Amino acid sequence: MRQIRYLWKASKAVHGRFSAIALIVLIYTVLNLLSPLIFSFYIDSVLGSEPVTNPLFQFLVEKAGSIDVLKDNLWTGFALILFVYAFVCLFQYLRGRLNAVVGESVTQNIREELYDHLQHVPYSYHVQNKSGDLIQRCTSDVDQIRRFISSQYSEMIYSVCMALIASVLLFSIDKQLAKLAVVTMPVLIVFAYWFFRRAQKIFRSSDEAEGVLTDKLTESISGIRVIKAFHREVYEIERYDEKNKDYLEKTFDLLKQLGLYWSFSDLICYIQILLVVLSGTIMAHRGELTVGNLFVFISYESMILWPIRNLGRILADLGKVSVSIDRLLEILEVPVESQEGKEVNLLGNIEFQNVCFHYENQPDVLKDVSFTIHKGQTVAILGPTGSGKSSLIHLIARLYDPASGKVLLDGIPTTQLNKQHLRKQVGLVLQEPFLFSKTIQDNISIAKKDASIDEIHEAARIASVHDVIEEFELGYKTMIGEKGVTLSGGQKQRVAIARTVLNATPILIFDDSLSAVDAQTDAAIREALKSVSGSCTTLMITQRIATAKEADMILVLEKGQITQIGTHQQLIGEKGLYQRVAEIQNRGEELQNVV
Amino acid sequence: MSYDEKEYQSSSFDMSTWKKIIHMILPYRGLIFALLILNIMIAGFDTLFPFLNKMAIDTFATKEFIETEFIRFGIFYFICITLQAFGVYAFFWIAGRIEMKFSYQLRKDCFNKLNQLPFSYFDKTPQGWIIARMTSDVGRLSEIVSWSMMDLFWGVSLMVFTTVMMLSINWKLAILVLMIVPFLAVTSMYFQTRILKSYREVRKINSKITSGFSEGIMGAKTTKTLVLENDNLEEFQKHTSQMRKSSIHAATLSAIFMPIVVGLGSISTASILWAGGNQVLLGVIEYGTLLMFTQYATQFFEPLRQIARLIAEFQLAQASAERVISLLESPVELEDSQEVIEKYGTVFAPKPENYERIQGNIEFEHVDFWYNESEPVLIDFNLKVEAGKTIALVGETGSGKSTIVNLICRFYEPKKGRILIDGVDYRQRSTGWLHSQIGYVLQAPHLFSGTIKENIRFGRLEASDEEIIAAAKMVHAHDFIMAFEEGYDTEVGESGSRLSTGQKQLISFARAVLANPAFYVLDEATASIDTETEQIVQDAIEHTMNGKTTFVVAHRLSTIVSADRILVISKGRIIEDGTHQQLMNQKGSYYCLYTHQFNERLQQQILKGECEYAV
Repeated sequence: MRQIRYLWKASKAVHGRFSAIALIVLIYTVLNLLSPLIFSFYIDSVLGSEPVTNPLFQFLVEKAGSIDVLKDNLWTGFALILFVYAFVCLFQYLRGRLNAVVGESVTQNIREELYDHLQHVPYSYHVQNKSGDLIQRCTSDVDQIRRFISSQYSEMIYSVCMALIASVLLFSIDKQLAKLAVVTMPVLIVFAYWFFRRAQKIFRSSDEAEGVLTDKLTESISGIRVIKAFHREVYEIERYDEKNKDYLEKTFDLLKQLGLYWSFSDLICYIQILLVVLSGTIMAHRGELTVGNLFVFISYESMILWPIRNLGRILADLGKVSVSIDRLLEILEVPVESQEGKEVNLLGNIEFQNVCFHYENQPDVLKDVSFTIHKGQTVAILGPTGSGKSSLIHLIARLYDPASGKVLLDGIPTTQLNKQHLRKQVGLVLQEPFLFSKTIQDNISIAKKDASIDEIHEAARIASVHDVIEEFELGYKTMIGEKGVTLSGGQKQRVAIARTVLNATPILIFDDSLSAVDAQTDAAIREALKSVSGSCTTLMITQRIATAKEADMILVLEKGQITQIGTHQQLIGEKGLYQRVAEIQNRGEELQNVV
Repeated sequence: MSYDEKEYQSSSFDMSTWKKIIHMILPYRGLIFALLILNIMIAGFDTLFPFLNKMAIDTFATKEFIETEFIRFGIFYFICITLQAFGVYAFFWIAGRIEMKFSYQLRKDCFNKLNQLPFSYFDKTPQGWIIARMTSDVGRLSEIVSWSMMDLFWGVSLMVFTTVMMLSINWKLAILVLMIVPFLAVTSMYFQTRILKSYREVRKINSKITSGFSEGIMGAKTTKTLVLENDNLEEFQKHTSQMRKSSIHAATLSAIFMPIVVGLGSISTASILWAGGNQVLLGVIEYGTLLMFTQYATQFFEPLRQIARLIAEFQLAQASAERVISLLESPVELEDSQEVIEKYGTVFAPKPENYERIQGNIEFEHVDFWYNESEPVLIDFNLKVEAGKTIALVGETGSGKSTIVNLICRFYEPKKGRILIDGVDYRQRSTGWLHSQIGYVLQAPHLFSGTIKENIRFGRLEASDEEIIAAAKMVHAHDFIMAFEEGYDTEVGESGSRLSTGQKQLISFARAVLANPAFYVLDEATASIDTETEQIVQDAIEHTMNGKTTFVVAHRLSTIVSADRILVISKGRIIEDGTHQQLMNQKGSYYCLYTHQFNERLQQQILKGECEYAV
């Protein structure tokens, strides 16, 4: 039910057209059924001598004057058929066109809604969910729905209309034969439905076998060094062969099943036709049925049976459509981030007041964290992996909110600030930044589209990546990603830094974002940053003592708590993690001198 | 998806490609022949049924009704139906068999080929390209040589039979049906090519939408930090509206084409009523014939409507075949000489009984090597290593350390000069001889999906479980393996994703140890692992090297310090050569390298290590 409600909502703009399609298909069906009737009329009454019973043709005879006029002018039949078909063609066109318009419009809505929604769900959602699965839903599930709206919907109406109207007409001609003419229909629907429901499993197992085969191939190519180094070519070939055979067998199985389905349902259809042909012939011979009507029966039979068989298949597919909608709704029902809050231009004072934080259903990551950073200060954050460093800075950008306590920016709790407006003022470089498959230039200026070339180059220089970029054949116009160059981890980090420093923000945060850069470059970047970050508050998560040494303040974080605060001079004299790190470092230097 | 765009480029008919395709399907000629016969039979029945309907009306309904004959007629009709149904089943069976066997064999050939190709091939060829050849291209080609080929035969047979039938019964009416053929053929060609083209466009945009989604999702975190939500949506909307436009365009073309086909067909039907009606009046034909011709008029056009699609599919098949063939015909650079093959066998049929055991003396003699001719990596490189020594290769990224290792492993061969193993140029032995005696541990350890046990056993397939455990114990991997609930039967996940880097490394050590190689080649990992594992890996290295020639591309201080000989490599040359003590005394680049870089790395390791007892 909620699936239908969703489709209804997603197709709000084209509701009228849904009814239009139904109407067009109805007319199209009726028109299609007319042609055998015309044949029948000409065979029975014009060429033969049966009385005219159909009011439509009675009218025609009246207009023409008499039956004999029509008999002498058989071109009228020709004209009549062409006339009907002109409309058949028109409605067929309308149906095809409207199907596409409706299907594509709704699909466009769904795609955009999904995309927009996914961008506005909380940060944590993207941390928790596998991107592969989300992409799968946004593509194949959407496509399943598109297929339903743009073809299966009108096919269904067509099948039903065809079966009903043809049956009504046949029953009006001859009840007895008509009963015989529809006898296999339920069997056909049920059989097709049953088969495709059951076949879904076989389809899946063939798909899975193919997936396994491709995985094996991928693995072998990426492990080719190991395979060769251990001289395991034959072994690998055997293993690939196993999967290859498995795929062969499963798919062949599927094809055999499909063969069974087609042959068996063909058999039902032909038996149905045979039934009508034989009993119709007997009735015609006995004079209970005119030849023209026998013609109608035989023609209608072949017009009904195939859509009916198709109907069973579509019904079986409906289950898949409903699952697809469910899978989309699972995404769409995730609440989005609030867009509320004050839009305040920040100076860069940061204060944590007894902040506690934990991820959903997890133990505390930050416990009672308090500190104050004044605007313009440079702060280094140091601590072992898992000590809560990243969580701490995520709170500043309001990617998460604290569980208790307050994060104050210029004295205002972040929870009162508009998220987007806040984030625009916090330049946050992630540890593993994502670059878009655009040119390097577009990547750097992505958050400041109107930046001049000089500004972009300057930002790249600060991030020590300008020279690297210039070495590429296309320089700043080089595409990143599949269609261009693949950047190393360090290069990516530096482009991300350039992208962030391009916007002068009052707060700059580096989430260990120089980790993949060598020490000299790190130092160079930090030196260059001083020129731009003079007035802004800078936070750096780092693993490097050299970075910490230069900071105005060092925060040492252990197990979610701040254990030490101070400058390098202060902390080096204090018992604690910082000192231990420094000592071990000295020992390392000694070790080298000794050996 | 990106290869999708390139796949329609070849459009002219290429005889040599088709010769090769025919050669490939030759093994299935029996099945194909059977399928041909079957197709003719099915088309024959398709033509027969309207004729039987005519008979029912003309012979039994309107003329003399002889009961016995009518019963016979009914039985005959029923037999035809049953045979037709069997025919359809057999058709699926045989066509499916051809498709699957053909694709199976083709994939197998490709995979065998991949195992023969030199490393340089994998350096040059993106993994995605190879996978696309072996999935979509092989799939398409085999689908077309089975199903599409048969569609073509069926269509042609059906048209021939129907034409013969119509002409033999009433040539005047037959001409009324046949006169539509040229018009229909021309329209079909015109529209189908356009429709195919427009759907190609749709697919192209569709791949843009897919990558749009994938960027939107994978970059969602970055999007948030940079507040790009609205910009991204705007950009995405460009694709979706373009998609809508193109899809509607493509569907509209079909929506115009289909009615035209129907309309043309209706001209035939309508003429049959007119001309046929007149003939009925003249007593030339009977009503049943009228029915038969209307039915023929419908089924006659079906194959014709498909003709353009089939032609396009054959073009695709040709393009796919060209690409698959290009893979199959890629040159195997490191081909062994005939004498070598005779003695040591090939990659697929090795003769390990003739392998001489390697002692471990390795010598480079005036070796030149390059990946690109314009950028030589090694020039006149000389090196002599005695058996049993541990050699640490040290130098910056790109200095040529890995190349030296690759040459020793004969993943590549010297462009000039020779590499001697125990005094013999290794090109006089097979690669199998060499590879079966190297213990190779990669920088980024590559595991295969499967259990830990299977991964270790990869080193020596016939090893017993006890030997595997012994190998794991030797490199101190046993303890962490046993800590898993399922021990050695733990699944490692796709390329070992369920294990940490350090754990993967230990398993790849165990794998190498199990192989009981004559010498080791270790490419030490730069990736930082926690101190505890680090120490274990260290011990493992020392254990494994024990007494055997070992080349280490080294990054860790302790590995280097304990080496018998340290080679400092720069720009493809050995600039310093000696023990740690000797090199430290020289105060040259080795000394510099270590006072700078090691300090740095140590510092990081210490910090990472802190978490061990902090958490």
